[in-house]
Amino acid sequence: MNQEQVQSDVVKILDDITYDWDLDFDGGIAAGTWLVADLDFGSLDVVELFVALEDHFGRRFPAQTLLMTEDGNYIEDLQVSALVAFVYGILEGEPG
Amino acid sequence: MSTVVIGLDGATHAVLDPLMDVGVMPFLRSFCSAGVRGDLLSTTNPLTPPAWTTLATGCHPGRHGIFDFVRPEQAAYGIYVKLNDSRDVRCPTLWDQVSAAGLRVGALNYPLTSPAPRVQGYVVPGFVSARHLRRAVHPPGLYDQLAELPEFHTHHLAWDFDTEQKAVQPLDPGEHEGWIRHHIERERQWFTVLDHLMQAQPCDLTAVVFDGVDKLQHLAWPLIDLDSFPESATDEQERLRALCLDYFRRLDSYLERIFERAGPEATTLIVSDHGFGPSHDVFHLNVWLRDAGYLRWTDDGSTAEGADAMFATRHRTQLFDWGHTTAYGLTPSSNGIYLTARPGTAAYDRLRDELIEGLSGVPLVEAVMTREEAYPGDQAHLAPDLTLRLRDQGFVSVIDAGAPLRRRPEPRGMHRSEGVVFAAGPGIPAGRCIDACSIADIFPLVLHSLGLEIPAGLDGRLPVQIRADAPLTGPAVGPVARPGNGDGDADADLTADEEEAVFAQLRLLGYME
Repeated sequence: MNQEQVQSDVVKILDDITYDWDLDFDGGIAAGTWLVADLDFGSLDVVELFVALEDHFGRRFPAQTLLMTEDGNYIEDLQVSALVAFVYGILEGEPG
Repeated sequence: MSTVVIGLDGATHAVLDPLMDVGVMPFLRSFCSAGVRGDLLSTTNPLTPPAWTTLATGCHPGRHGIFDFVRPEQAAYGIYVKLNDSRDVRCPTLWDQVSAAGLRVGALNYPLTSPAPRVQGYVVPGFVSARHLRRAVHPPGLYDQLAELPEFHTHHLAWDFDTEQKAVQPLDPGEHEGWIRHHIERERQWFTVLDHLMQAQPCDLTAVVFDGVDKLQHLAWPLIDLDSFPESATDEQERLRALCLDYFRRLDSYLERIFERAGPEATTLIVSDHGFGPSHDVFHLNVWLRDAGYLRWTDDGSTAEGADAMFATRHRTQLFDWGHTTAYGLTPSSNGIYLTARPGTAAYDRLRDELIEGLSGVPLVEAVMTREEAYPGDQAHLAPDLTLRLRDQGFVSVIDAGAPLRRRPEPRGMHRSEGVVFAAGPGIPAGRCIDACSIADIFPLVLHSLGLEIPAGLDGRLPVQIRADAPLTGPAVGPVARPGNGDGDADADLTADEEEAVFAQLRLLGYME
C-alpha cells in the first residue's frame, strides 16, 4: 500500500466519521485539512479516529507518538497529511 | 430458554428496599417474591469499568486488566492517558462465549463494549458519545434502523462526557432538576431501543445497563436516601425528591415490561456493579503525600482547574515536580497510588512499606493494599502500586487543598462494595434471601441458565443458592480467545523499563484539548 492509498483510506474514514456532524467546513477533506480547526475534533473524537484507523488497518497505532510534543504537551491541531504520513510510516515499519 | 440480565448501575438495597416499601417500585417487590435476592459483592475497588467487566468475564481485575476508566501509557516524552476500551479486556466475555456457542446475544449500554464485538446478535455500546454511536453499533446498519424509532434521539441515548463529568463534581444550585430529567429521558431512550430489539431481534442472552441510578445517587443522595433527607425539607427539596422517585417509578415499569417481554420461561437477573452509601469526608491523597514529603506540585499543577474530573480533557502537564515526587494519585476513581521507584528494587519495597505504614495511621483509611494483594493475576502490573480503601468506601481526591482531611458540607453518594442481585426463572427458588455472592459469579450463572458449559479457570463460581439444579444439556463452550492487539499493543509493551519512565514522568491527564 503506497502513501496515496493510505491517504485515500484515511480520508474515507474521516468522511464517514464526520458525515452527520453539523460542521461549517464545506471543503472536501484533503491533505491540508486540520482536524480541530476544520473538523471540530475534540479529544474523544481523536480516540475514536484511532479506533477506526486501527480497525481498518488491522493493527494498533501508538497515537501518543503523534499527538505529544517533546515537552510532554499535546499538539494543538493535526493536519490530515501528518496523520497520513504517520500511518504510512507505521505500516512501513517505522518505529512509533 | 433465554436469559435477560438487567444492570442497574450502583443499585443498592438501602435505596431499593424503602422504595419498594412505599410503593414506588411495586414490580421489583413482586419480583423478589418470585425469586431470590441478595448482596452482590463488587470488585476490590467498586468502580463501574472493573466491576461490569468482572461480571462480563467471570474474572477479577487482576486477570481482565481493567482497573479504571483510563490507563497510563508511555510515550517518548511523557505519559499518554488512554480511555480503556473493549480491546483492553484480557479475558473472554459473555458476549464472546455465548455467541461462540451458536446463540444470539444482545448487549445494550454495557461499559467496555466499544469497539463492539462481532457477535451473533447486536451490541449498542455504552460510554460512546453521540458523534460516534452510529459507527459503534454492531451490526452495521442497525443504528439507522434504531434512528427510525419514534422519538429516538441520539444525544439523549449516548454519553455526553461533559454532562457525565458532573457525577464527580458538585452541581451548581438549580442544576439538579436538569440532571435528574436528563437521566429520566436517557433511560426511556434505552428502554425504547431494548423493547424494540427484544421484539424485532430476540436473543438467547439479552443484557442492558441502566446507569442513571448511579448518576442520581452520586449527586442527589440526600434527596433519595431517607436517612439523609432533611426532616424540615424545603419545598424545592420535596419537589426534587418527587422527581427522583419518578425516575425510580419509571425504572420499575421498564423492569416489568422487560420481564413480560422475556416471557415466563426466561431467566431474569437484575444486578448492580456496586452499591452506594453516604460519604461525609474527603481524603485529599496528594495533599497527604505532599505533607509527608512524597510529592511536590509545580506552581501550576496545584491549582489545575477541574483536576478531580474523571473525564478531564484539559492539558495538565507539569502537574507534579518530578524531581521531588516519588508517589502520587492519578485519578480519584482508582483510589490508587503510583510510585516512581521501579518494582522489584529495594527502593520500591522501602517506599511502599513506608507509605503503607504512614497511611495506615490516617483515620479515614481502612486499608492500604499492594497490587499483588488487591489484584492478584497476570495483569496486576497494570494496576496502581497501592490501592486504598476508605472507611466510607468513597473515592480519594487528587487535587490540592489546605489539609488532607475535610468534612463535606452535606453527604454525597459514593460507591459501596455491596451491590444487588435479584433472580427469577426456571430452577430458581421463590421468595428466598441468599447469602452474598461475588459479581464474578454472574458469568457462570448466565452460562448455566443458557444450558452452556462453564469453562474452567474462572474466578466466579456458580452460586448454588440460585441454581443448584439441572444437568447441562447444551453445547459446550470451547475456549474463546480475545482478539489480538496488534504490533502497537502498548500495554504489552509496558515493560518494567518503560514503567519506570511512565511513573517518573507522568504529568498529564487529558487528551488533545
